[in-house]
Amino acid sequence: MKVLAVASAGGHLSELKMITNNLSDKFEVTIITEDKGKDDPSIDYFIPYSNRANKLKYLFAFINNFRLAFKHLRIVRPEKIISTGAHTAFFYFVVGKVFFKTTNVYIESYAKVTSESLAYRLSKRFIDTTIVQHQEMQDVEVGSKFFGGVY
Amino acid sequence: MIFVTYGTQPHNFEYLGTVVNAIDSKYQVSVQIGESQNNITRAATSVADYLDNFDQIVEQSDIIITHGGVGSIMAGLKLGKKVIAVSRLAKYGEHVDDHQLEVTTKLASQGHIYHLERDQDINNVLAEVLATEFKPYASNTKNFVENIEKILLGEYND
Repeated sequence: MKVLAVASAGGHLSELKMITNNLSDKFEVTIITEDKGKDDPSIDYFIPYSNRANKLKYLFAFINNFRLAFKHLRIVRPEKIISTGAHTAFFYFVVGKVFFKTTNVYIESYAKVTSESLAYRLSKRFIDTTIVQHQEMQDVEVGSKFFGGVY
Repeated sequence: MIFVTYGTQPHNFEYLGTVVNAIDSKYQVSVQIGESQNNITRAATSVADYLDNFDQIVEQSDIIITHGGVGSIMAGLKLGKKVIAVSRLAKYGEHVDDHQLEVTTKLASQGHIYHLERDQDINNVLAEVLATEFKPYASNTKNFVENIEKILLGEYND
């Protein structure tokens, strides 16, 4: 089964890798993350790093990320997309659902315990399954599944 | 040795620098500062942007003082280290929001780590932490990934 795994840099990527490193060989995984200048042979495609700190720069990144999501999804043609957030998830979930009929699995960060994430709020209409890593988060992101943390 | 890590955020974290500066000279201190501005003036303190041997440094440390990032906290917990977490707060421009507070508060309430509040004396806290037995963190990775596989294969049942 072809799975596209995508996450923003930092903690999101390390949580994603804990999953992809342990998936069985039933899954053919393509990993996408943001480019922070780190040489990492386990990453298949990079998108430019961005964050919400600079609003104007983020607007350009926002448009560019949709373009890149379309490009990568057209190459990979995955059946499922998994993401550990944050904003990077949104672009692939939207483009995947609308143009490529993907099944989207969102894994909320271990860091989120009591409040909804922006990535989830933006993406929820495009997500098929949400997984949270703290039981109390099931009350915040309603309908989500819980089976402990990834760590 | 005390190892201090700021994570990878592009935001400054002046407060953690003041914590480092206040640490008693009897401790050996090593710092990974990432992209935060360096206001460390403490003598005999090594400061690196990033460390290729991060896990090795953690392994050699007695106490990890870390920003509230999950990756940094777990790097310490998985190696059975005593962890003091200092949450980056949005009101001081240390992060985009206060999410670090959620997980540091929870892990501290479960007895896995110590959460350093802004008005605390670091040397008193270090003495307390050295005398405290923290609860070990049991890995759930295998169970987590097995459930993810079931979801991907459409075999998951609640």
